Amino acid sequence: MEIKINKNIYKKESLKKTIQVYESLAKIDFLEESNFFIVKIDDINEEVKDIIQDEFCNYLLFESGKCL
Amino acid sequence: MEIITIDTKVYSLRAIFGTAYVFLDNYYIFLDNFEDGKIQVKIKSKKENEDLEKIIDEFKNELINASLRLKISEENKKIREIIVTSALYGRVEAPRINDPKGICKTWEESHSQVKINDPKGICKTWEEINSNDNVHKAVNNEILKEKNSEYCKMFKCDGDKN
Repeated sequence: MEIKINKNIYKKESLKKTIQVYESLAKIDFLEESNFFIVKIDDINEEVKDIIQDEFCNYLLFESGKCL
Repeated sequence: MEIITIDTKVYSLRAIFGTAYVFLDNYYIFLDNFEDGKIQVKIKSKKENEDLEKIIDEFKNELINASLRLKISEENKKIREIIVTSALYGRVEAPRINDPKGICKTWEESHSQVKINDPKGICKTWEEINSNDNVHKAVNNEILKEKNSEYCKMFKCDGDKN
């Protein structure tokens, strides 16, 4: 599973914090491109498989909002 | 999923984040596509089969609310800072008001300078009456009285009954 996250909207620090929170539920890595972060989510816990992507984005939004 | 496009020239990114934050409990929200000064807000309900049209309108209204709050907050920033600084340092300079009759004074302020005619010291506190010197004198007198008592003379003691 991949999520493309815009660098101009979300901050790297927020992304790192979000990954820390969710790493117990899946294996999460990210790559940095010129305008985007590419977040790769693998080995997801079965119980949260359907919602992890959306919940991850929500948490990322929450963390980014705190940094503004 | 519904998508709203918002112009960042009209609404700041901070206002958009503030608005999105309000809806996080019940909706999944993702912000994308910052190009051309526009942001796409993707809204998805956490509940199944929910009509999102109403939520989009609510989102837009909340966006105006958030923008206004931010504007007011920026306008009042200096006042807030002054109030907080004064509260922390505890030295608010009292405004000088022209008040010759003392109307603005509190009861305590206006009555603190009144001299009460109290020749017998009725209004004095126990501490004011029995200041340290007076207490010592009183104690010494009590000891002398004890030494001269019949009881002490009989047993030739120093006033200590034990």
